Amino acid sequence: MKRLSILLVFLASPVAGQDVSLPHTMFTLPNGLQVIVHEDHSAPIAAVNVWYHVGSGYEQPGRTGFAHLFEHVMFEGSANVPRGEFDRLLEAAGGSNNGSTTPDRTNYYETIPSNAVELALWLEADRMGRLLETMTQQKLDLQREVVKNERRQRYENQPYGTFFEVVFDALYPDGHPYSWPTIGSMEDLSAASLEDVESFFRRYYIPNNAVLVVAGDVDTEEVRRHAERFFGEIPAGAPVEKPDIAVPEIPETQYLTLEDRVTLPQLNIAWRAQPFFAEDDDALDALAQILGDGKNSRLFRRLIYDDQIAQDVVAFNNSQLLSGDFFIRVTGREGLELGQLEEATMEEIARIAETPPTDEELERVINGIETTFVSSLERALGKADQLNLYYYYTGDPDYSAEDLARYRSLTPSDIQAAARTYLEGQNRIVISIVPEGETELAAEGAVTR
Amino acid sequence: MKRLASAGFVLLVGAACAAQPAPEPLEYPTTPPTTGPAPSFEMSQPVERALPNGLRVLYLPRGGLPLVQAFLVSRGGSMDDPSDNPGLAAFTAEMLDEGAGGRDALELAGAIEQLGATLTVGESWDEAQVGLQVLREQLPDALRLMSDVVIRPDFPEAELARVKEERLTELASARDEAAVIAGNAFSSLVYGSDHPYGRLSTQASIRGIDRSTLVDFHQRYYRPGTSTLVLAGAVDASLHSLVEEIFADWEQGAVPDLAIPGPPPMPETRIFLVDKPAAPQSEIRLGHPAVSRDTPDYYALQVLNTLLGGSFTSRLNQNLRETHGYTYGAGSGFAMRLGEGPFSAGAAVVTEKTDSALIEFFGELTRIRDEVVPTDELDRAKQYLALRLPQEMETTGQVAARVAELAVYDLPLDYYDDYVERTMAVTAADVQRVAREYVHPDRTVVVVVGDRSVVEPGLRALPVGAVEIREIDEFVR
Repeated sequence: MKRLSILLVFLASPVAGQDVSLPHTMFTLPNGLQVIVHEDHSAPIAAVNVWYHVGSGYEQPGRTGFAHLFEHVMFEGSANVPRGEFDRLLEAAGGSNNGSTTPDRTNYYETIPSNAVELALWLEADRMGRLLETMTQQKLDLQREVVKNERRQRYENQPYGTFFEVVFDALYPDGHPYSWPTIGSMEDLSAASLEDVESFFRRYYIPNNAVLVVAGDVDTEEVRRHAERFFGEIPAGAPVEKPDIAVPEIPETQYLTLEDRVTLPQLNIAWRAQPFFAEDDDALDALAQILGDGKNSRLFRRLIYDDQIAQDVVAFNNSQLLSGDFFIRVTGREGLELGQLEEATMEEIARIAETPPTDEELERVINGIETTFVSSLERALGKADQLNLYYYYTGDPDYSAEDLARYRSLTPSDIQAAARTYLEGQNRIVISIVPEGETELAAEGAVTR
Repeated sequence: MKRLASAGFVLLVGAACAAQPAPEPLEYPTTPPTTGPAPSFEMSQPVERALPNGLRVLYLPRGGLPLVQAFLVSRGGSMDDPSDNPGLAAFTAEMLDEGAGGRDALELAGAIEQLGATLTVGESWDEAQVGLQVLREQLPDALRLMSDVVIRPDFPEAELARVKEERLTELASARDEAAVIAGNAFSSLVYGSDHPYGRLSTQASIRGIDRSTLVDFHQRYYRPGTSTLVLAGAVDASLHSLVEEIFADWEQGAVPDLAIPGPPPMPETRIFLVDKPAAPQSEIRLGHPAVSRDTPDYYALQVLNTLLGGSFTSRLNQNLRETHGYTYGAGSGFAMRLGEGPFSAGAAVVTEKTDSALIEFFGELTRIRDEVVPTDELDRAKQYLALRLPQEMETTGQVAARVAELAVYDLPLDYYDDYVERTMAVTAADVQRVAREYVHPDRTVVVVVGDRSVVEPGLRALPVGAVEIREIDEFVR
């Protein structure tokens, strides 16, 4: 069977023959704030989504985790919004809100009934323009404790949770901002000061380093008026350049062993891949799925279905602004020597590097990507974040047609080439996570390619 | 015919959302902009049909994307587990897509993926559920595969052996996760082994499952007369002849009535400490049996929980997170099932503050009973519930799940017609009444999974109840 060829239209009234697009209006305020509006009146809902172009990849050693800690502080009130009111006002209007931090950016977002768009925009404007006027040591200290508990809950008290601290340190040279996890270290969280909050805000939380997207049941001209009124007076700051830091190759294959309070041993392998939307990034995405997604994926079939030596397999291509990393994680059965998993995993990679995957394998992946793409655009917030993502990484808020096209044009030999270029025989970081006292289960590096 | 909601239905809320005069232009406002009237919220008209074999079919057309979400809900949820085989319902559901209609597990998965579709299998206490997400163009082929999974699972021996090993391994590794241990311990200690909600799937119960057990369970409970198929999205009732053709040969059969035992009595509050050496946080769960989904107090309980622990600004989250910094988040909930599911509250708190956190939990549970809720707090909770409805129904999957839920709990299809009205009608007196009726800090199981060497003395000093030490092995075995 051939690939699905579907004409997708994200308008209320589909017109046959049109392909995928996210129609929008974009304008820039005199202070540099860029505003993108996408109208969709199919439901009485709207999303407000602000991306600040700063994340943990902009941090300095000694202040790791600060971009994320700052994200928390942003919810603690501003000049005209007493502490706690941000959430109270939005909840009373039937809205939901949150924020998130990655190495490349920090986003803040609300989904609201369409009558509350003005409120959400004002709340975003007040904290963009007037956060520091009511900032206190107490607010910082409190969120520091919350973030430390987030770190304990999501990493320290999770099985295998220390992996992310170790792997980025091994993947990137000392001092590189991708060499630490976004959550940061406890020590650096403790060291963050009120002065840090002030200087970070003045440096990065300026209108000319932010992009505001409003998507859903809104009127573009009304959004423009609100944006001008609420955000227009916020002074611009010194331009922020996106980091442009060289990312060297992994100098040599490295084997690391971690002991953890776990029952099952786990093998992790990480390779250097490609930045978001760079050449081969799409082929690496597809390769990850061919290797690890679904019962017919190569690694599931080999390790879980046929050999039955693994409990779980994950392969993913983690692409970011400066670089990307390709991860394979295999959790073994109890007492299994991880060298066995490593050998089988590397054999499967070698098979793809030697012989391209079948047309059918690639079709399955592309068809899944098409459906996932459509369903991700069901939500106003999904579309708003996608417009911001495309703009940050490609310079074009509506990169959707190009994005889908890059996957549709992949051939099996592209996948083979990606396996050869980035995985097979390439330097990598191999991390064995074993039950305490069972270091003999760790992969020893006997298999070298 | 019953329907989900009338067209042109308008969300009506209190004076807080009344229209205000337009603000002065240009000047930056130092007070929050007032929100105008809530927008009208129209929902598609569901069309109900039935097949000759008794299968109920609900079509929910929605404009927009060429996407379809289907759910088939049937009996065979965990309430139907035999008392000596907890986990059988879950295992049966999980095995549905491990080979069906003559295709083996890999062929079946491959056929679904080829269509760009996602098929899910699962179960709750009250239903077995098969879900399908697919683009409209591929719906006929995908629906045939879905019907194989529901009606004609093959339960191949080889797949059974593999999945059994996977489940045994999963259970073995569950002991690594404090949150899983806490959840198991809570249901086990609240309901005990005489009630289905308190029984745990174990290595022994999983080993005891063989092919004939699965075949029997499937034949007994997966029957069209007690099942509903929901189709939402790019669908309409013109699909019905296709649906009829695909599901026509699903044989009828008498499904045993569901026996729902009442919960055991809970005479006093007790603290159960499960040691997890060196844990940086304690996983806390506290609660007791509470209420079933058919309660007339449903709306009052939803409002109560929203302001107690069901939203970010709720008392528990504000207290434990935003005032004290003990946790990344605290919350509560009423698990309303066909039977009387539990009320529970919980959080993962920093180890050193375990006892202090419990004091705050008990303080909030007591305060919500003793004091009338202030009007602004009550209004916020009600509006939060009522005005969020459009975003709770934003995706095809969300709408389909809501409709499937109506089927499982035998609620009318026009249920959401008066949802807003009934939510907004809840009073402060209602909230206090249901708090006193359904929240019992003096008859509560408290589970703490954490580092005993640090937390035990503090727990023993608390004036809430006796402390018992329990082992992980009791709850994950």
